[in-house]
Order: sequence, then C-alpha cells, then structure tokens
Amino acid sequence: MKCRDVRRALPALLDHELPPGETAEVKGHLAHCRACRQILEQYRQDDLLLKQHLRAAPWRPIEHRPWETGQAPTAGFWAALASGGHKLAAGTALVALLAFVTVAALALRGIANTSNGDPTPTVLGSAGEVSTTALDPAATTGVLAGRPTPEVVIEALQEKGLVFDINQEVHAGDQTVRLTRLAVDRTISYLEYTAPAGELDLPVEMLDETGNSLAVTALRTGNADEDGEGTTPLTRNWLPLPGLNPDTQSVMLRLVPRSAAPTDVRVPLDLSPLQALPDTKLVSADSIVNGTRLQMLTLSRGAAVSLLAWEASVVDQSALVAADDADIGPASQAWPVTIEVDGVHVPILSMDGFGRETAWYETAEVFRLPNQGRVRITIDRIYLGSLTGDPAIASAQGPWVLEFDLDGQTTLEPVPTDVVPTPSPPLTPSPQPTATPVPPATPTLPTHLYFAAQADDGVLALWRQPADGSAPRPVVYGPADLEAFWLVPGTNQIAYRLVDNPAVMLTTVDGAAPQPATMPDGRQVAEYVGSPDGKQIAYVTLDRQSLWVGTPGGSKFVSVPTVKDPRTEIITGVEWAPGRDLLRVEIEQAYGGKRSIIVGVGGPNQIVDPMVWELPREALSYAWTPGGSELAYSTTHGIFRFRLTEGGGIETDITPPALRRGGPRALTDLHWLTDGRLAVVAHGDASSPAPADLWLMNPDGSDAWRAVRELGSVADLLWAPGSDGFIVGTIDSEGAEPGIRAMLLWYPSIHDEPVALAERLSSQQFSQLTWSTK
Amino acid sequence: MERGLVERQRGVDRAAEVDLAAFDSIVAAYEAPIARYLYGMVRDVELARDLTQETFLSAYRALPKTEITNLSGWLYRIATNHALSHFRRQKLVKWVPLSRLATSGFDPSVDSHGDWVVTSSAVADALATLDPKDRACLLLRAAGFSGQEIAEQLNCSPGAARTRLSRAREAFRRAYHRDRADDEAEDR
Repeated sequence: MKCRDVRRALPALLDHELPPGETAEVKGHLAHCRACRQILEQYRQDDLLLKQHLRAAPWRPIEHRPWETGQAPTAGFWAALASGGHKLAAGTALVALLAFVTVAALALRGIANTSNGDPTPTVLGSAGEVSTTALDPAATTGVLAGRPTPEVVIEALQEKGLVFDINQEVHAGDQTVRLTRLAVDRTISYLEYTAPAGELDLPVEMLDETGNSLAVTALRTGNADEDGEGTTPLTRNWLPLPGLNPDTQSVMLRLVPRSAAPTDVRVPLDLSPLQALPDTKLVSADSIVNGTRLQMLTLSRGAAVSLLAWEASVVDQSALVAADDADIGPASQAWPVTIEVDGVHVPILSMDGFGRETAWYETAEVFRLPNQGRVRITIDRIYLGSLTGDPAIASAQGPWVLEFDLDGQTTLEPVPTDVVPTPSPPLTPSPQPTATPVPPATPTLPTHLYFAAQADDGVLALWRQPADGSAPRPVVYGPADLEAFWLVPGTNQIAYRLVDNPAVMLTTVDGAAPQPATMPDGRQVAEYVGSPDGKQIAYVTLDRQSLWVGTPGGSKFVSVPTVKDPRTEIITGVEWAPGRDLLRVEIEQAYGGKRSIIVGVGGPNQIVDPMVWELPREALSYAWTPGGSELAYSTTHGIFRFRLTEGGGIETDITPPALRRGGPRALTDLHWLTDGRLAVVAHGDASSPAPADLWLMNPDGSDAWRAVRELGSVADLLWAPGSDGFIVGTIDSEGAEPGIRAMLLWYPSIHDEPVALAERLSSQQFSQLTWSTK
Repeated sequence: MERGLVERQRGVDRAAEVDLAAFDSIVAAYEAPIARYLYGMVRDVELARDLTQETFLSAYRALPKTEITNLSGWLYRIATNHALSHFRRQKLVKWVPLSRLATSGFDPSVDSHGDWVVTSSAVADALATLDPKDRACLLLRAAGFSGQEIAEQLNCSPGAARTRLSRAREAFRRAYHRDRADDEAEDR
C-alpha cells in the first residue's frame, strides 16, 4: 500500500469505517511510515481542535421566542417523537433516560467532565434545590446516588479551612449575581453564587496572580419559574473550576457581560492546608481480563477530592470482549467503576479520559479517600476506541479488579513499583533467521553497523553488519519485536526495549545475557541514555514522567524537571548534546502534540539547578552542532537553528530558497558535516519515506544544492563518523515483486556509487542505523 | 458525543409535561449547541444568532407535520439548511487568502469581549477556506454525528458523505497546518 492510498484511508480509519482487511494493511504501513503517522496524528489533533472550537464558540441567545407567548404548535409533538420509532419512547422518564444514557456514555468515554467549566451537575439532582446526597454507604440507591454534590464537597473543604468567603454582589451589565464562596482543592474548586432564577448567563474567567487564565466558563442559573409556582426565587448554584496550586495566594474572577465592561473580583486565599498534602505517587496494581490490561498509574491526594489514574491497553486482540455501550448498567451507578477502601464505598465525583496510540487513560476524582486501607477498584467497562483494532469494538468488558494499599506516607518521590511486566526471558538466538542478505562487494565500513530489520519470520530484530561487509547477523532476536535500541557510549553495552516490555534491557555487542537497566536506586527504567563522553546517564522512570541524571558510579543522581502535568504528558525521548551537558527531551502530550525542551544538567561532578529551554516548534529531525552549542532542526516547512541564550534561545530560519519551492515536503535526517555544512534529506512531498534526494546546504541557508539524486524512499540515513560517507536504509514498494523491499546501501562518499550491504530482508521495518562505537 | 446534555437534562426532563413548555425546553437544551455550530459555519455571532432563531422557528412550525426519529439530527439538519441557504442567498462563499483572514479580525463583536473568548481564530480561519458543505461535514462530525446522520443532514448518500468528510478533513488539515506555519513565519 502506498502512502497516497494510506492517506486516503486515514479518515475512514479514524471513523472506524474501514474494512478490517484494509485496516490491517493501513496499520501495517503506519508502523513503518513516520510521515503517514504524523498525518494521522494531525487528523486526530484536528478532531480535538474542532470539538474544542465548537465548545468554545461564542453565541448569543435568540430574542424572538413565539413559543413562550404564543400557541402550542401541536399536541402531538411528543407523540410524533415516539411514533417515529425513536429507540427511547416518549415521556418524561424516557427523555430523562436519554439524558442519563448520554451522561453515562460521555462519562465512560471521558468526554463529560463536570469540572470542565459548565455549571455544576445540579441537573443531576432534583429539579429544585440541589439535594445534599448522603454519603453514608448504605444510602447509595437511586439515580446517581452516592455521588457527592458540590455542597457536600464544599462542606468537607470547609472543615479543612479551604473555603473562602466572597459575599459580593456584582452588577455586570444588566445581570446581577452574588458570589458567595470559593472552595478550593488540589484538583477541583467550586465557586458558589446566587442569582434570580432564569436571569443569569454570565461568562466568567478565573485568573491567577500573574494574569494567567485558569478557566473560562459561565455562571448560569436554570429556567425561570422552575418551581412551578410562578416565583423566581434566588437560586444557589456552584460552578466547578480547576484546582489550584498550593502556592496560589489569590485568584481573580473576571465577570464578562456580553455588552458591558468586565468586572473583577479578587479572592485572597490561604492554601497552606494543601501544602501539607503528599505529592503524586505511583500506584502498583494491574489486572488482565479478556485481552485487556488495566494498570494503576498514580494517586494525587487532595484535601477532599483525590485523583486516581489508570490506563488500559489491549494485550490480546483475539481475547477482547466487546462491551455493549448501549447497556450502561444499573441506574444507581453513575460510572462503570466502583471504588472501595476496606469494603467501604468511596464516592466518585467525576471521571475523565483521553487516549493515545497505545493506551487509554482514565482518571477518577474520588471524595474523601481514607489515608489508610486496602483500595479495591472494580471497573466494569473501559473505553478503548481505536486501540482495539476492530471498528466494531469501542469498549471492552471487564470486570477488572485493581487492589493496592494506601500507606498514608507523604512520599514526594514515586515509590518503587513492581508494575513492570516480568523481564523478557533470555534471548534465544536460534533458530537463526533465514533472511538472505545479498553478498555485497565486500565494502569496508568505518566500523560495524547496527540496525533494526525484520527477519524472515517477521520478528523485528537487532542486526549487526560487520565492517567487512559480510552477512549481517542478529544480536537481539525475539522473543518479541524490537521496539528501540541504542548503544551506551564508553561501554560495549547495547540498550534496547522490546515491544512487550516498557523496561530497558542491556546486553553487550557479544550477546551477553540481557539484564534490566536500572537507576542507582535499583528502579528499572524506560530510557537509559549515556552521554557521548560516557560520564553521565539520563534515566527516565517507567511511568515516563520523571527524568534523572546520574553518573555510572552513583556519585551524582539528580532529578530534572520536565513534565508539567503528569496526567497529560510523558517523556518519549532523551538525547545528549555532543560535548555539552545538555539534554534534549521530547515530551508527548495527550492531546496529540509534542514539545521538546533542552535541559542543562551540569557536568558529572556538578549538581546544579537545571536550566530549561523550550524549543519553539516540533520537528522531524534534530542535529546538534558538533560542539553542542546550537541545535538545528527540520520540519515539513523548513530548517531552523536554535541558539541557547540566557533569555531563552533564538531561533533563526535557515531554509534555503531552493528547499522552499514546491510546497511542504518532509525534510529529515538533518546532519552537520565536519566542514560546517548541513546535509538534509528532502522527500518528494510532505510524506516520509517518499522518494528523496540528499541536499547539502550552507549553515546560514544562503545556498543549497542537490548532492545525491534519487536516493530511494529513505527510511533512515546515517553519516559515517568523520567523513562524507553514509549508509542509507530505503524501503521500496514499487518493485516488480509484491511486498516491500528494504535495502541498506553504503555510499563511501557523496560522489561514489552505492554498494548494497543487505537487501530483501523481507522487511516492512528497517530503521535505527547506528555505528558501533567500539 | 458532545451534545452537552449534562447541563440540559433538567430542561428536557420537564419538557414532556406540556407541549408548549416542551418546545421551550428543547430550545433551552439545543440553543447553545446549535448556535455554536452555526457560528462555526458563518463565523459571525449575530448572524449565527439570526440563523439559530430561524432554525427554531422552522422547527416550531414544522412540528405538527413532522415525524421525528432523531431530535438532535433533525434540528441540526434544519440549522445546516439555513446556513447553506444563507450562503446561497448572500453569496458569502469567498475564497479569501488565509493571510488576509488571519489579520482581518472581521468579527469585532467577538473581539470586543476581550480575551475570554477562547475560540481559536486559526481553526476558524482554516474552516473559512472550506466549501460550506465540507465545513458542515466537519462540524457535524465534531458535534458527534455519525456518517449516516451526516448524510441525512446533507441530503446525500452515506458514500457521498464519507467522501465529502474525508475531503474536508484533508482540506482542513492542509489549511490549518499551513496557516500555523504562516503565522509562525510572520512571528519571525
């Protein structure tokens, strides 16, 4: 399948409307095609953007409402609705059920989040005053019983000294509202207000002391005369707002009437009770049921509302049991999740969720989580979306039971966890893969070469190409596909991950028995990246939320700030700058974006406060200058240089005019040559790999020229150390034979004809070329 | 599916009591989402309000003779028809260069609200470059409708709706990401 076919199919893939056979083909292509994956990611991002755009769009109420004063259109409206065959029959109860089904489905999919800005779920209580739902575990009957109302949460926060009186009447335009109290917790806040019923629809923004916007939403009250007695009583309501950082000393509530100047109300705060709370910590528990794995992630304690997070992933597609989304369970259960501590029910306030390519994440805000005891979370259904690989299955059926102990500790650092799957068994190099590299014309390579490619049996293995050009041999081969590998400078170690294990394993170039890579404190890691001088190692914890830097001997071991919000960000990559104590850290965001930061971590004998620079854009490839003083990067729109300064860095666009022509094209494999010029692979269009040429350019972008034409569809390109020779891995689906043909070509210099090193590895994946450092 | 029913349950819940009140409850439930959808279509708050008004008036008048199987789908269909008719009437389909759109700020009514309006002008710019029907497709999808429902709303076959949706996604992607790149270039 070619890129253009895949791209045509991507929207249907996202909408689950692609036939299963084609789905598999498209996913197979995506596995090796970075550019198509990027486009898919953009589509996903666009979907979210459009949803957010719709939610945030401004609107004004209509003025002419003849139905309020005029004649009823017909007595048969609800009859029409029913006779039309709507799944849900007419009538109050069933319309209510419609709403409830949707609420529950939204909750299940994590779209409904009562803390996202709209008025509180008073709608979930009775039609009049909000009832105070008893939290007695025995009283968990009736629709949505057991779910704490804002009043109850506020009362709990009051006990902790976290409710702040406002008592200010505000006339904003022609609307009047009395702001009474603000209750604050770590993950949620509530603004309490009263206004005459039916008269209020007032946008409000919450800002912190520095003027940063924390939330934009609106104060509203329900319909007038909702008590049916012709009166318009003052209605009390609660607006959920985000939780606040414990250091916050005040917030500004800005009421923005639609046709008058905004009114600001400042609320001084003392959040010292929040400062004593323990930091977020990792929780170890998992359960595999019906082909789906659920794994606890974190617990963030609040004064009254705590946040639990877990993730779901598919481990066995064939064992997956589809949940019936139409069956939302008993009406007494607001969420498909039950949480107990030592057998006592813990109410869930709200749930949220978001997905990534490999996992679906859910969070639950729970009320009054005890400090100690054994937690038991029973999850009946979980939304998996496209993770299932089957458009017909959106949700998996459980139940999964996750159990863990609350230890009550004020642990600032994540506790060691045994969440890690069992390390892979020792590698079994036999049977030898039967790939048949074409005997090359015995080229002499600068050093041995390592690369990833599929063996004949389809397993993605790590291969070693000897410098003499003899046939490549596998170094890491099974038991699962290789996910990534890299060499550890200054050693003869190879670090790698297999797709079934998030932990890094270490072996040697000689194929020593693999061992888990660990930090000095014994924890296993998701990344283990040695600095080029071999003196420091960057470790990323298994939850991919913390970065540590240390020396191999353990004399230095410091945490480096990276992730801003553990619920939405993970560290996906770490790269050292040559010759400098700088790290480029790639952080993936839950809603589709990525950001890169550069962190200065000090030398092996220095413990310094890390300095952080944010890179202004996401790129396809990055290249440090040989001295590590500047970073160049390439996108589909150009090539840029970023110089680190104390003020935050300066970006310069150095795209040569020749590479600007002809619209967006993928510019990859950027590389600084030893003579100070830059080399870049320019693909034919915005996709990669696509038929590509190799370009050389001046470092200021003043000129560029095509050095090698028609390299093929370049999957990876690696320059030989200290020369202008390079190895290129290409993937070609245009050949006469069906299937994909992968080749490894050695260009001793940009002027020489290439020599085939290995080809026809029956590979759909062919990447990560790496020279041996020994 | 984003239909905001969380906040609307009470109104709809009570709607069945009296038909007159019922329609009011439907308006209460759907006014904001329909108005936002129409804003996405026409990018003008006042115009969106007028079209919302026309939508509900049409719905109100159509009730006696309409058999409704899908309330929200029906309302969005009426709203889409009004938006498309508006474009036909006013010949408002303009192919304005993105760079001009990005700087024209042609919706002062929104700007005057200050910075609380979080709607992304870049998204609106990109939407504005699409054919109105393609735009409707994307917005209806974002509002949570299935391909089949979109086909009904646009009065075309499901296959045609799928093709249109696919084309619209790609056109939006190209416009939006190019727009961002242009903005970034201007910033430099």
